[in-house]
Amino acid sequence: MTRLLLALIRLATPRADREFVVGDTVEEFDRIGQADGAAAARRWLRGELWRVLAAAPAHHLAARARRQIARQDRSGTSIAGDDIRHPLDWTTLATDLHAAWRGLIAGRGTTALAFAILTLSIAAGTVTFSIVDTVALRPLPFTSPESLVAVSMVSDVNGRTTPAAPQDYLAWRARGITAFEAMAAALPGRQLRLEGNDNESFRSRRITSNLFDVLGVHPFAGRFFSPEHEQPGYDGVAVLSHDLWIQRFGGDPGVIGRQVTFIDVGNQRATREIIGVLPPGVTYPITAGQQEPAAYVPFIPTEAEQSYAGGRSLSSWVVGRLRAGVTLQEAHTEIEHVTAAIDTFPQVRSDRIAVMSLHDRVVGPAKSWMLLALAAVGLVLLVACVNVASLLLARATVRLKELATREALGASRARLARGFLFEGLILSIAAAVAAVAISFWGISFAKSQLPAELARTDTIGVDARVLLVSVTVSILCGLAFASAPAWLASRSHLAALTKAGGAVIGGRRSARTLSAFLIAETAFVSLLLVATTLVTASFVIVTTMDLGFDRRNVMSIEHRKSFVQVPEADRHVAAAAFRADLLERVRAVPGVTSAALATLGGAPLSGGRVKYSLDIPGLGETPREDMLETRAVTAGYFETLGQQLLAGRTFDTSDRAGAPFVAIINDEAQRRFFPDRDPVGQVVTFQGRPTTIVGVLRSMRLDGPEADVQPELYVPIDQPFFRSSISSGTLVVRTAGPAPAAVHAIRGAMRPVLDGAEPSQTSFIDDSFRLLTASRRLNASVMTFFGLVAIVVGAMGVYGTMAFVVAQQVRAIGLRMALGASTSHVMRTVLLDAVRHVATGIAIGLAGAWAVSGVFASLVFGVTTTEVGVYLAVAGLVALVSLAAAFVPAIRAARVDPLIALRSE
Amino acid sequence: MPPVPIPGEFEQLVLLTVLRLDTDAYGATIRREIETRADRRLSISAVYTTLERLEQKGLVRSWIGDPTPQRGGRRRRYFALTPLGERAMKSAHETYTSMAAGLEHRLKAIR
Repeated sequence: MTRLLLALIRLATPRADREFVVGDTVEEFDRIGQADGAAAARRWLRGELWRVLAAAPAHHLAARARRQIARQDRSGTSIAGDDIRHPLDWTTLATDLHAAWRGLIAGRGTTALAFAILTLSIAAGTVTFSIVDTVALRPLPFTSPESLVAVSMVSDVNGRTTPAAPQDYLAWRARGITAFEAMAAALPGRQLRLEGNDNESFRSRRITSNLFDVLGVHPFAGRFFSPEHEQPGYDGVAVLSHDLWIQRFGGDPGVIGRQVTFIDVGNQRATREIIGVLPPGVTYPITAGQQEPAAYVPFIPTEAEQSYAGGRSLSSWVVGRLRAGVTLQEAHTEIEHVTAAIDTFPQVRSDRIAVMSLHDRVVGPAKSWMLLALAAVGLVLLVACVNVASLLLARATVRLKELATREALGASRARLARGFLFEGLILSIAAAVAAVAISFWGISFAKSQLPAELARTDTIGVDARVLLVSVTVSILCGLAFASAPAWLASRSHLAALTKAGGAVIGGRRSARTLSAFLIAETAFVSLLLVATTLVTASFVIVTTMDLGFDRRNVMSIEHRKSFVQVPEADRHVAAAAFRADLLERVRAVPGVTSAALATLGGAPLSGGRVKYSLDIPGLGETPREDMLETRAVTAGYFETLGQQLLAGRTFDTSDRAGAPFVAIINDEAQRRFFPDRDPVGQVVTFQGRPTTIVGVLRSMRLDGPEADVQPELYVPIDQPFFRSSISSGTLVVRTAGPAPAAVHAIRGAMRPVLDGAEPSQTSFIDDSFRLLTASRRLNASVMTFFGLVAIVVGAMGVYGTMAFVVAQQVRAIGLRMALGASTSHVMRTVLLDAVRHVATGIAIGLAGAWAVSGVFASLVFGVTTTEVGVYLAVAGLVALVSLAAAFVPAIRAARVDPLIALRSE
Repeated sequence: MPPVPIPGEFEQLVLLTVLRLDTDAYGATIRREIETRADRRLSISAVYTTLERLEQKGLVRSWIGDPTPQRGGRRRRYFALTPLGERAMKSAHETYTSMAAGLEHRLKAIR
């Protein structure tokens, strides 16, 4: 202990006085020990340490002042801070920092450029990391989230992952899944509003009573559901999300136990007792757009949800808590097994079961995007570092004489190297501070640009983790780019260099390093640009693809109409009259150019689909994989969507009940089922009825540009193919101007014939399209942004390096010109020098891109990742930009006046 | 002859101590002397800081003694007043006594 205290006192004392101070302290310590005992001496020593520490700054200042005086006495000049043999002294550190600061100020231009490059790239890194961190890295807000498992469906058609069907969930629950300790589900409920609060509605979710137990969430207030709440008649209870409780009930704890009346979109009232409030930030399911305030109510399956007869709606977010020791694969096998055993599904499943960790389910859709963004940001940071390194190295070479002088005056090489490290650190830390400030703005901008499929985006922000990472990254950057000039300073025999003509030799040494930097930088930029080009090309291909219909100015409105009170025999007639009435009213709305109704499958791009098989003479029943997407439509449907008729005719008002059954197929169905005959006029059997095919339409991409075309079948909605008349439908409307402007009038026109029910869910097909292509749009904009930053930064690097090389070679150039070299020859030499490096860099970068191109395969659509044209384009672009950047230094070289150049040094 | 600098209060205490200790003036003894006579707790650093400053003003000079066994072989840095230091102390003392002349009784009487 005594030794440690003495060592600390020693450390706190200026080097020059250490021996005497420690000696004096030991002497006093011994004296007190003899007089008052060892304990008193130790007590005194502890107090002495604090007194020494308190007085240390003044002592150091005084000692430093004395050293300076001493030095002035010796040499008559003052060389601040070059204390030679003692490189790790407080004061010398302070002096070095100060000197580094002055060095940065002196090279203002370089410093500003380096600062700008670093700030931009670190800010980009900080924003990207904070998004990735929140969306993917942070654990879910549940207890032991690692054992939570999501059970989902993956569509065979488009590969999308969707929730499971309630029928399946109920079947699993009834049979019991032994792989899970417990299993729960959440389903979307109706949009609700509170009585007396007419305007703002909020979401409701129907959940099994054990959901929050399975997730391991504890109530913020009150309690959660218990099993008896799942009994019909006992379900008059609700749990509020924390933000709903704050927004609508003012965070009043007294709301627990209160009866509250909720009104749903069908104007139905239900009074429920509020029994609990969720903790802040907890929501289930965690998915895009689902994090707004919600009320949770007990899940009581409807009749339709209990039976497979009416088809399945994929709406149950099923979560299970995996039993200890059970693998995902085992759980998957068991659920498949159970499902196969109960499958009495009349229509064919076009999806399969997927079992994955809840975290993967939440993060999955964003994974590829985030990998891409992280990789791009990493590359940009690399380019920035290389760039700043070459800027600093170039300046260090210019400062070689200064360094040599300092060395000659006794500064150690370590000391000189440290100066550069300090410059790098000051620069990168300043850039980090500026970058973090910019990130606050950048994050709020990025949030508004994120794709809808990304979950948890609302909690993205700058926090301690993000700060830690960005500061660490910038310090690493600082050390990385400062190490090049530091290495130069520590290795060069500076004095020898100065004698030998300084800059030339030093230039040659660092020119080799600069070449390596130039090549590396070009390689990184080329690699990034290949990825950018592929991703952007995919976006362009996707958004410009012909979908087979005109998506502009079209909207769809879902509605329901009940005919239960009409005698069964008259229902078809009543429904036909209702449809004619509805269409007449809608078509009369100003701005509407055409309107039609469809049922079974939803509007294009809505994701809703119903598949039926067809009995074709000579082929028989179409097999599972060839089932047709079927819609029952009114006359005018194809015209409204702008779908092209290839052969035969479309439906008209004469295709009604009593007329011969007719149908229209698309060219994909023709290709599959009538490869060598004209389908028009063929009679097939649909729903047990002989049906004549009257037309062939061009295929639509109903699931968006990236899904394959499917065989389609259309039948007239007024013909009684189906036993029960259909009570729900989709109105599609084309307007002359932008569709949103007409929504209000159209919904108003629908209301009188809907018996007071509200037309539900209005969607614009253009919006659906934008949603489908949102992640591509984001990928493309992210990559374009990073690509632009990289190429600008890269061009600055090429310019800076070549300008430096030219400046270094002024004498050689002057000599050559004096010996008769022409200006064009000089220019060519400089440009060729640049071309040599840039071409090497491009080759390496493209080879690298080729090697890792498999990684972006999943992010690319419509082009292959090894598309030669893309690589050639990138090579051309990088070469062009680099040459343009090298042009200015080349001209400068050509303007060298031999007389001035030769006299200059 | 250069003008005589006027030492500060603590500087005067140090100068007087160095004068009193004569040839035995080094860090530990100077500190001990001030601690006992002026009854104030000092850190060794404060003593050195002041001595450093006094040396820069040319009021004291220092030299390094031989290693002594009782402090682990570490050397002592001894201090002594320069002629300028002696004059400065003398003038400071004269100023002080002339200013205080005739006030001794009254000052003593203050409790």
